[in-house]
Amino acid sequence: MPKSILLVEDEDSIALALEFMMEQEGYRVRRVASGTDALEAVKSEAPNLVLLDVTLPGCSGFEVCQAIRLDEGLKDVRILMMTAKGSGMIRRKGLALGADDFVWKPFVIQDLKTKVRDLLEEAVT
Amino acid sequence: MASALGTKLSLRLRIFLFFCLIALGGVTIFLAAAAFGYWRLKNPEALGAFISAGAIASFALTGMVAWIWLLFDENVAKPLSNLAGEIRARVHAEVKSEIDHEAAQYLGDIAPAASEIARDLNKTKTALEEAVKRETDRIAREKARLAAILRDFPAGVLLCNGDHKIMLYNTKSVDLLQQPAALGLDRSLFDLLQPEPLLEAVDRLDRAGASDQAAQLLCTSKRGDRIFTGQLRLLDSTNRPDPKNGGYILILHDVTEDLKTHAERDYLLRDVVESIRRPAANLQTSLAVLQSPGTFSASQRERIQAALDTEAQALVSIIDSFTTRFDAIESTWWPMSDIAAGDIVAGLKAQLATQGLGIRSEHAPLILHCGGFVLIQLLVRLTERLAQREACGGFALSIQPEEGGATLDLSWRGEVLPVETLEAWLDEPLGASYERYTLHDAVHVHRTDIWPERASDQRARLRLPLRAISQDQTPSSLPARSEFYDFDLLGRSAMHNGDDRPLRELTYVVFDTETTGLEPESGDEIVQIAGVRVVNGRIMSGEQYDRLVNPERPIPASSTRIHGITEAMVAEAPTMDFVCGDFHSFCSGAVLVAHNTPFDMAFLRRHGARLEVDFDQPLLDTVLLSAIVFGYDAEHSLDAIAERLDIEIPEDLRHTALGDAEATAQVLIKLLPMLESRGIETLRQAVSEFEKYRGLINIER
Repeated sequence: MPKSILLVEDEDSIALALEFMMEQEGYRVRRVASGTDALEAVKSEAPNLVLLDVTLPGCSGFEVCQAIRLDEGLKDVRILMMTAKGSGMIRRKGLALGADDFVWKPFVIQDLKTKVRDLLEEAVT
Repeated sequence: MASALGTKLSLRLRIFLFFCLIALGGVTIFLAAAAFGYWRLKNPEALGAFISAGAIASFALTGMVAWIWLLFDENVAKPLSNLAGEIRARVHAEVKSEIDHEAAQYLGDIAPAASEIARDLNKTKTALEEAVKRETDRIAREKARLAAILRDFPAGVLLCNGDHKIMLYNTKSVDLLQQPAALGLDRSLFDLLQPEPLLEAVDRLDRAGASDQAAQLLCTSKRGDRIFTGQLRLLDSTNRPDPKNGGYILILHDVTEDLKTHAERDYLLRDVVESIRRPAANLQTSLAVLQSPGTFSASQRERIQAALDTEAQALVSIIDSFTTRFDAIESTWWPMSDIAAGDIVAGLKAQLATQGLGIRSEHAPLILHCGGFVLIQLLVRLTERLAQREACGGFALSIQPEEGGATLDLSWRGEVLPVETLEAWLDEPLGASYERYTLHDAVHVHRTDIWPERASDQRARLRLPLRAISQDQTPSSLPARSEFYDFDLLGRSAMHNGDDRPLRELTYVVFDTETTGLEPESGDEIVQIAGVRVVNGRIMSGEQYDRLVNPERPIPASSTRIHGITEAMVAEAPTMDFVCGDFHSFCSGAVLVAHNTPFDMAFLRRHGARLEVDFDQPLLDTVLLSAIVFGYDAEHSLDAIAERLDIEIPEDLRHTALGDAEATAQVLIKLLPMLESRGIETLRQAVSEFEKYRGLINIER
């Protein structure tokens, strides 16, 4: 059974690339474009990993992250947050709210692949 | 001529000469009488008897006169000389203790009479002092208010006289100039700042006759490591033929960091443009090739894709590097002030108390770099909002240090706050008068963020990281009552030159050393050196020099017993390699004074010669000054002089370099008017008088 990833990204161009790349890696990927949809999808599907952008329409990536972490039933879901803006303080806030790791855009594709793989392996162990 | 000689000789010497004259006269009379008797007798056989009688009588008379002189010297001349010293001390040095009658018991009523005069003088002085004090107190209060404003003025303020000597400096200027050893009253401003821009500004104002205008200038510290913008205005220029001699006021702002930040931003921008251009161009070219019609071989496609990959990675790494650099610049420059964490807590508690809300607090002694009012308002609004939530109470504020800053936690008993609720609160105005200024703005102006998290099983918190700059102590400060201004220095410039300047107008550094032993020429070394500056007859309590020195050799136990300084205490202290030049800088422009100067100067000059630091300042010695005032035979140890002048040296400070330097400074201040009363008013006169007493020094310690 392939691992499932929920991609939460409102920009189509990067979402397309990420979806394609993750599928190439053998993951099952579903993409949503807003925070509200993300919360529904997480609750209904409980993916292994959420690839979560910070800036989203509706509710922010931080709100989604906190909501997942406050839900006891979703404690096994890994969260990898992404953002194209801000400084070290954004990363600190994301980690404080329960994200497992953080990447800045632009990122090197190989680095992202490694982080995703590591998080999913952690989840198994 | 005889009268002039008479006044130059001391009383005891004159009395001695007087007795010599009596003895000589008596012997002459005896011999003349014997010669006359022999001549009348006309018997040559009696010559031997006459000679013997004459010699015995002469020796007996001389012996008797010498004995009477000794008694007279011991019981009259010496007590008279001491009494004169004691009267002088009461007239000029404000000594208030009773005159010692015991030593002058053979002078009849003179000592009690002198006591009465001294008491009467004291009474008159006290009454006069009280009247003067009332009036000066009033003026001093007004002066103190102005001084307090100036002292804590948030820019560096310096007042200088026409010779560019400092007459006033405030706390901020100490912070800005960062050279405490060289900053002080009556010191040259040019020891701290490069002179050219200042001279040019003074000259510019002077040429323009612009007494009511200020000149803007940009200047640098003497070491060139700080850059200041300044505003210079001439003082007292209206009624002076040469306005430049009236002095000036200089207000300084440190712009080193601002300029550095702006320069870094410029560099960053230029680097961004230059660094991105190449990979962007390469990407564009590679993409254009890929999109061009025609087919590629597998290896060609692979090479183009590799090129695309390389350039994309280069772009990512450039952007990462710029983000880091931008963060660093952004966090070093923002318009905030330094506020103690305790003041933030106190402000928050006071505001919450008006609404019946209480909050516990715990804070480290930190100075936060923040907008105090804005930060307190932010915390007040958030606490109010939290208090309105159900089952939310037990508020606490904690401010603790973390790497590079501080963490501010507002915690409560209850559930973690949802991010969307916090975000909604942050969109509200900071206050009724701040409709356009939201809590979000208050957070962003501090270049930080705020988020909710769990604090413990029962408690949740909002965490707000802040930038703290130091532990709770201001970088430098002037002691509460330190002397940081002296306007009498204004009229001093160019009135006198060098050695002819009045003693009371000179600036002194009175210093003392503690050492490993008493033989500077045999390898003994300084273990502690301290100095105080005396300007216009006042000890500058804010301008002390006090350092332990690593002697780079063992400290004998016998020396440690005297000054209490152990090898462990000096293990981390600087050596004379540093202290020699540092102390020399502290002594700039001053006359050096010590108690028994040859001893202390032997150490300084030995190291000075090695390090090319020339201690060529004029020297005064309190042993010699005391000898001039109290006579050669009096005791001139520091303890004896201090007792004579009513100066108390606290036991715990005796034999510490600073304690002894301060005591010596007090001795100097009391001796100066006494020297003037003896006609010794200038440095030249004092040094010339020293020659008579040269043999005294290096034996009194």
